[in-house]
Amino acid sequence: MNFIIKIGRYFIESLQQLGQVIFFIAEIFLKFIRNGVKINEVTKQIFAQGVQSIGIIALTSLATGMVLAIQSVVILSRFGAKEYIAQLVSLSLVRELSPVLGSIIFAGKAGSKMAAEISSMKVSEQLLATRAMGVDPEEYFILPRIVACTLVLPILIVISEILGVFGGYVIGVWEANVPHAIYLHKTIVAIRLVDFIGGLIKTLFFALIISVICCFEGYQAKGGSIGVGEYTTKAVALCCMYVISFNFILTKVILTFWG
Amino acid sequence: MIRVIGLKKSFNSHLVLNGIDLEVEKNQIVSIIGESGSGKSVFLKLIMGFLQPDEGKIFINGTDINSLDERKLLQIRKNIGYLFQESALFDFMTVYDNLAFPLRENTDLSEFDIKKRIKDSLSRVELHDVENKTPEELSGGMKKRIGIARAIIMEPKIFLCDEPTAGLDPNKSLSIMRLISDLARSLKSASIIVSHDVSNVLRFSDIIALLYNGKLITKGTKEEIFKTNQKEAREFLMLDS
Ligand SMILES: Nc1ncnc2c1ncn2[C@@H]1O[C@H](COP(=O)(O)OP(=O)(O)OP(=O)(O)O)[C@@H](O)[C@H]1O
Ligand SMILES: [Mg+2]
Repeated sequence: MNFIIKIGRYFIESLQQLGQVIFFIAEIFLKFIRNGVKINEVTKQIFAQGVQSIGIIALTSLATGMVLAIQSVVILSRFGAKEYIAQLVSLSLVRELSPVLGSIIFAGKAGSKMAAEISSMKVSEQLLATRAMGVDPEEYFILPRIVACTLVLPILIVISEILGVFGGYVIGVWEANVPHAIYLHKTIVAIRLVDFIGGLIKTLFFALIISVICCFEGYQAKGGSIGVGEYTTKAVALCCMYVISFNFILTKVILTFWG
Repeated sequence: MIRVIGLKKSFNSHLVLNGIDLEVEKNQIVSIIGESGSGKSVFLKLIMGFLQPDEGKIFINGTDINSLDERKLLQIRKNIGYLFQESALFDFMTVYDNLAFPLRENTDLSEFDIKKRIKDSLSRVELHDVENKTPEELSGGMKKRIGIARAIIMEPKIFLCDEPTAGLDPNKSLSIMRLISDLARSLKSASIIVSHDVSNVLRFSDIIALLYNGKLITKGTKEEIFKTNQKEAREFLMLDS
């Protein structure tokens, strides 16, 4: 009985949270429509978020491309299909791995920073101080972060795709002895516009998911410096969960309408 | 300028303010003293429109602020200087940028004029060579002064101070209170200071009120306060010892 009550309460709380998030998004969106966005702040955020995560995204993309190629060599060799390594690596990266892995890493790096900044401003009353000075913190701190994130994450993901493909190329050419001109040619022919654009559409959604969750959780934070830690952790965990779940839904939708 | 009528506020079932009436005129300093947790900060936050009252009305320059949405409240707040209990300076900005923030966002002043204004207000709070420091590098008393400088930089007609002397030694408390009262007088603003620093409050305020159990149990000038025969007031002010 107790268990059912707990589940019921959890369900209701989740619904409430969802309602709040939707309200939050609607409010921010209205402000965007009505007053635009502070370009200065967006630029600052683009550099902050981009510079912060490009190194780690580059490194992981390179490694992912290489691992993918190594595994593909082994697996494809079993079926005598080694020549498909270029296609397998590049399509996996562009359609799935770069957008998803890159977004998750971005959430861990730039997203957590976003959540930590906003939540520490919340608990130390800096957001209240902003309002006290007649400035809307949602317009000044939240909106630029969300806009910057949706601009910068797709760029990072494209870089990640290029580096991942390069990683695969290195293994393909040096380990699997595929002639490099053939590897490149196969890669270029393999990636169709739908693969590339589909990946970017997903990335755009992930960018919105990450920035909205991190800002929202930061905005909700309470309970001093411990609260900052709690809400930041929660934000990143939620980002990972939602990026992965939405990836399934978005992939299904994109494939249905544009296979 | 500020008129509060029958203000009530509770959190969950915890009644914090239970019917507050208060009026503050231009060029008047009203202090509210009360022990920790008596609801002083809540009172100021209600006046700022950060919290909604359960009952009662708050008028600022004749406008009922609870009938306004956040967008209109932001406009009203531009004329209010608010000193936060914990200063609430932006910790990722330098002192200079902290002080420039309200000017850049709310005025059309050129960067040159902003610089002049900041220099001027820093000298008014008697601080020098701190422009490029971050709040982290400042002492508590210096942060308070920066907080005051930020609160008055727009030359507000209303000045609200939350515990300006909390956590400072007696000498610093005295000089901060003197500074606040000088600034409030020079701006001719309607000021409310909430504090539990009885001696300084008595010294610098026109009207003193004691917040106890959610009500202002005594209210008046220093002389009137000394004559009160309210038991709790005499105890809190230590008038009999
Ligand atoms: N947002 C809130 N939610 C719930 N309770 C609150 C909230 N803000 C204040 N309270 C409660 O209201 C009461 C008064 O708080 P307030 O901060 O106004 O006290 P104070 O007089 O400013 O004390 P201090 O001198 O320590 O600053 C406290 O019991 C506090 O727990
Ligand atoms: Mg307080």
